[in-house]
Amino acid sequence: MRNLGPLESAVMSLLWDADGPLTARQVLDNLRDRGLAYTTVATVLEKLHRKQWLDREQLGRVWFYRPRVQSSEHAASLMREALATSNSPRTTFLKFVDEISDEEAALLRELLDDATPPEER
Amino acid sequence: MTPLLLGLSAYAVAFALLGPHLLHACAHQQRAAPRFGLALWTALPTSWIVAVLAVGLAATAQLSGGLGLAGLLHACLRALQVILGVHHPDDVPAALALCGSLTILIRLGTVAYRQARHDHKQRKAHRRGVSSSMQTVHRGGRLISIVDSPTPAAYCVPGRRSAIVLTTGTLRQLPARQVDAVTTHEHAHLRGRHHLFVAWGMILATAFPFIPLLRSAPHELARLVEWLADDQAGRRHGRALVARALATMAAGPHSPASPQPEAALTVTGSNVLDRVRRLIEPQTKARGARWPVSTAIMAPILVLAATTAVLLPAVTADPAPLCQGQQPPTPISTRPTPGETGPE
Repeated sequence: MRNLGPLESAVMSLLWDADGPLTARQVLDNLRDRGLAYTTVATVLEKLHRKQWLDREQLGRVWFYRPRVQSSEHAASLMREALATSNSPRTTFLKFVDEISDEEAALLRELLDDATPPEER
Repeated sequence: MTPLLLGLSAYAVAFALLGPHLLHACAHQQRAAPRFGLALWTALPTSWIVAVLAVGLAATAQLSGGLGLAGLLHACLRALQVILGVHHPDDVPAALALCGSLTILIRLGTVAYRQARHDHKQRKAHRRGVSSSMQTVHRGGRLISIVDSPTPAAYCVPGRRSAIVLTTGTLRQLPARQVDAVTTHEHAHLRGRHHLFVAWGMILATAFPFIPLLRSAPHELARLVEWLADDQAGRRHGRALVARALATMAAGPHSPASPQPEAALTVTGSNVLDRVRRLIEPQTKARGARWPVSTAIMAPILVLAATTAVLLPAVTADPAPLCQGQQPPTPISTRPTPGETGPE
């Protein structure tokens, strides 16, 4: 999942906050202060649909759009991406601990079991 | 002044190659006192760069006739003239020394700028994308941001709008006391501005990767700041507890509860085992040979003293003869001065 442009994320957060699917006209009305053209909004919605951000459904002659992923899922995937692309050693974000392999995890459990008296576990 | 210059050059050559060995000889002391290690791994690479720059600048000043900072500027002009084809063979060494120093400074500046921009962009993207849908909670007097994700993860975002971020997976998989240990660890990073140490090491290593001392700095610094934060969390919550939190978090994504394992990050060879071992093994007093420690402490101090000694005369030298030679409009400059060696 890639990052969104400014207008795309404005549209996405509008749809995330909306109660149900919206049409291009409704999106345009909600973003009225941006002074957008109807075709611009329609294009952005179509692009977001093509990029699998939105689901759409046709009722009569009108398309209704709704988000495919929840905003929290999107945030989580952005977080994973940010942590993954961050340089190493990391200066952008300081992570508590890196993931380890299964073998290492087993070693680690052994180490802790040996070190911890049973009543403390 | 020349013996000092030679000494600084010798230091630069010797420590570029032997610095890592010297610092590894103090490994015991660093393990017992990571703050001390952090100071060493910051001071030695920094002193190396300072020594090299001092040698370059002082050599320029000397070779250009010992006329001080004004002499440097003059040499700069002459260096340009040399490049442009004005032939004055005496000026070539000075021009080379100056160009070398300037190259180092420009390289450092460029790398630092690029790194700062990269970090800024990443953190901004994080703020826009992730922070917008995070909830914040108060926990143990600290503001913690929570991301809704089953994968256990915890990190801090340093900088002006710093934040400690935990996933809901972390909260679910870790007992409350371990979560507190994790946040104390991250808080220690933020309070100690650990990212700046690692960033400085990264800048030096990226700018001059062919110098062994600088190349190993960022990884060592990254390890030391983790140790430091582990210790601080351990003092407050108990070292065994921090060790268990580390183990749970590190092994987290492999548990069946989280469907998406993270592919990246595992490649670098983890230091998790070492961190855990350090937390659960009995804390020992620093042991090992004393001389590497005293050498590692004294070297940067001596470099600083030597740098001051070689650069001070260069800065305070009386540039009068040069100025007179350089400013034809003033009446006094019409007569030639003995110090003037520039091409006429």
